[in-house]
Amino acid sequence: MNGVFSRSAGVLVLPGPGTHDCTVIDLVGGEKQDPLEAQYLYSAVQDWEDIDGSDMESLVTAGSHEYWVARSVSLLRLAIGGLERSLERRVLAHVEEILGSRVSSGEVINRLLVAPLADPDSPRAPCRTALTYGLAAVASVLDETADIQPLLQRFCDHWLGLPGTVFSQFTESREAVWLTVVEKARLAELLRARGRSEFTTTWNLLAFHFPEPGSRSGVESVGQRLSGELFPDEEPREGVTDGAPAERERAPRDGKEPATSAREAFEKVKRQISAIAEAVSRGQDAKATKFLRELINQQTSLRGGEGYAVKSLCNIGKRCADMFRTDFEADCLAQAIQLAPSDAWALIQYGDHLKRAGKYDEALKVFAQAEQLGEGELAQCCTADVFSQQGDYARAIRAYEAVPGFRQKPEILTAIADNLRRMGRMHDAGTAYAELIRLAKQGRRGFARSVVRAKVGLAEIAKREGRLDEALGSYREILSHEGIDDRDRLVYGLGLCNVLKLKEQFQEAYVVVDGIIQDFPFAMEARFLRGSILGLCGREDEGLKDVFESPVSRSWREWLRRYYRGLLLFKLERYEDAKKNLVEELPNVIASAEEKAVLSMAAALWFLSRDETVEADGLLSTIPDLHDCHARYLSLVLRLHSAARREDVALMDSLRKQIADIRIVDQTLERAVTALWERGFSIALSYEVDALLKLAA
Amino acid sequence: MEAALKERSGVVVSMPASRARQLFENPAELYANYEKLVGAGLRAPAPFANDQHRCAVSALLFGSYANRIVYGALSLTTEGLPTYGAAHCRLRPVSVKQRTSFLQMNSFNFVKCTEMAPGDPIPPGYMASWGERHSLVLAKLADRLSVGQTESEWQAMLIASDGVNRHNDDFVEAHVYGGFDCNAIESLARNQKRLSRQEELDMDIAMSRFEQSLSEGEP
Repeated sequence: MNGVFSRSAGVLVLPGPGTHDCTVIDLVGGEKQDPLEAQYLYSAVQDWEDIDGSDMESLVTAGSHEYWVARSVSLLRLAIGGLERSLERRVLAHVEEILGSRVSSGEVINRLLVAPLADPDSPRAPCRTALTYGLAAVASVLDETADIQPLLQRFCDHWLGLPGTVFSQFTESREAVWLTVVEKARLAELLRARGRSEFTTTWNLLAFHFPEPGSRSGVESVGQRLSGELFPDEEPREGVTDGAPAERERAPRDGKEPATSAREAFEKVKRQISAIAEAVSRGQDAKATKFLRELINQQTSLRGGEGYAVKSLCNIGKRCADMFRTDFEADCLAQAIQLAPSDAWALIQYGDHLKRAGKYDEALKVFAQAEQLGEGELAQCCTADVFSQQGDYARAIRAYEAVPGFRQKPEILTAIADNLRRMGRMHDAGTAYAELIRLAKQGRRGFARSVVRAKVGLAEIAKREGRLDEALGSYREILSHEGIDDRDRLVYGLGLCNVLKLKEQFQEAYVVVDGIIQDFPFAMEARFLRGSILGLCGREDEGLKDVFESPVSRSWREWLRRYYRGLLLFKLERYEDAKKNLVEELPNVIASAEEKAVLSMAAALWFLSRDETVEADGLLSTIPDLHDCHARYLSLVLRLHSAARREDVALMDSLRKQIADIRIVDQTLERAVTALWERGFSIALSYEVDALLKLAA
Repeated sequence: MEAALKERSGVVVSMPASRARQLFENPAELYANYEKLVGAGLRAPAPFANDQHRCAVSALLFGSYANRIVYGALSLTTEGLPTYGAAHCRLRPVSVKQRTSFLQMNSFNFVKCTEMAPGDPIPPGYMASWGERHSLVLAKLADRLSVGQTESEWQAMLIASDGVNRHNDDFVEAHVYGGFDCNAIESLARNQKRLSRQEELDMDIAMSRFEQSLSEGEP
């Protein structure tokens, strides 16, 4: 049985028993209408669509569902576009009602993703309004719509960049295929796919919505093409070997030098690199790729320009790493290696990328290659870094000590001290840092520059041991030096912020991190940190903007985004969304054992909030002995929380004694303990979540 | 009346509140690359396939472009036919005068009364272009006009409706070729019909957006 319906007007027209008869059904009220009364002007002519179903009931159900989805989307678009306050509230309340009874949030979000928003943040304002009035479902839809914009932008960029020939198998137009993707492909899920396999699995389901065999093959080939472009890092060399478009666009090499001066050329390249980084940060991959191709073509068209091109590619790769855009970084580095296969520095940077992506074996192979190319010492240190990131600190130290003449190399001695600190051998680490400072004071050649680095190490030890005033003083003193380079200043500035957070000096922490972000707009770790500080200041909504969702593969330190995001969502009582970030992400993170312990605590907190103590205890039992006294304190409080929920008084007493032995002052956790003793679980949760926000660094 | 018709009469399209609201929802403005991704008019115009009679009437009058016609009523005020919806959109003359014709009555009744058959020409004297609309009205209402009538009385003659049954509507039907968007709307009025909560919301949104667009000086 088939009919026609208008999803905007909510009217279904079905063929009647006679040739000239028809039945008109008002899908809103579910009543039949007089066909004559139901004539024209119900909706725009383009709005009428064919609809199929087994019987009238199924047609009415399907049509009605489509009507409510379309209505929700239409109203939310108006709210996103801006409505006067009183109207906005009524509109959002109405959509909340629809979401509560008629359609799922996911369907509405998918339809809102028909194209990237001109202003990606435009859903935030109505989202805040919705939260003000307790309209959680609609707030969640708006928030997710805003969060997903960079992913959508990136996806659309690739989609629009696909050549027309890719769609030649379809009987439908390219635009019609896109609409089917939006309406049928669970687009939000597709955008969040974490790899080719996940993407392809979701994408291929789309074939069921295309009746023609040609279109189905088209679905498959478009899917393959898109997954290849969206996840290049799964096959990093692929983009290098398939260099046809770049080759076509390459300017002929005539050996003539350009008329511009070296200074002008340098400035131009700087601007081009900034534009590429900007495009990557906005998810405009096609644009970034185009700019990159132009830059590389331009540089390689000069005699001996490959070297410059490799430097540009490595420079962009570094910026991408700061943004945690490891996919684009991989692409840049693969191109760099193709241009200069024997450039050890490019190889080392590529190996570092693999290390951060958790591909340790591959990283080690690349460093071995670099070692053979003459960068032995650097490659050995990088190899040691891999062991360190894997948590095998003893092996890392042995690898550093294998570097010839390591005792005369302050960078290596600092790295050894760092690994001692990570192992928890604070005293040994402190001694090693102090020795570095002593040697510098003695005027040992090359050691002067390691003084600041050693002081940072000591400040970190003080922080971990709860001597926050000392740590704070050290960082302030370190940052007062004028000779520190920009990159180090960024790292030390973040260190200072972390101490300020632990001391609950949130306003100052915000000012410091905000200043860093002004100076380093692509430093995502700084943005994550600002997000956490905003959350601690009770500005969770604002904080979420800094810890937006990202489609890229996991990498080292990237867990902070999901961790902070999960905690902010938890504070906003959006527990299901928080779960995705705190619990479901846990097995996938690339992090050290101590960082994983912090993540496990956050996941345990989620289970405690649901009163699921078995799961919480399971997670807490995996936490090893912690060297950081703040983390140790919090783990005891969470165990106390679980025991209190289970009314295990004996364990509570034991834990309370252990907590009393901790000498650091943490008023937040002290309040949490008091609340737990009085069985004030929700109050305790609010302190615990803040403690977790303070903790990670 | 002739002067009033020449100077102040226009096309009013009446529609349900939800349709009026949608006129002010412009996805192309909200999204970047909207047109590139979605294209324009993708959903094939699907007429009221089963409304055979309606199609036959339209086809008799307009032939192959029947499904491109938007129906309205000639009006001296901002009010249109209440039986077609709560929202009355009066269209800017400049946006429709080159593409509008008028029929002395509802086309459905007209075909019935004149017993037109496929291929028959439209009898002369019942249709007019924009510039001759006053003549069409005067010919229709001549025997009801008298000295001393007010403009509101003329309006009541021009659009007569009980607000309930479309069979009882009497008006001069306007046929606008092609669609129109919110920029073509000169005024937006609502009738006094009681609306559901949903319709009320749609109507308020439409009114608010229309007023906003006026204050921004766009349309």
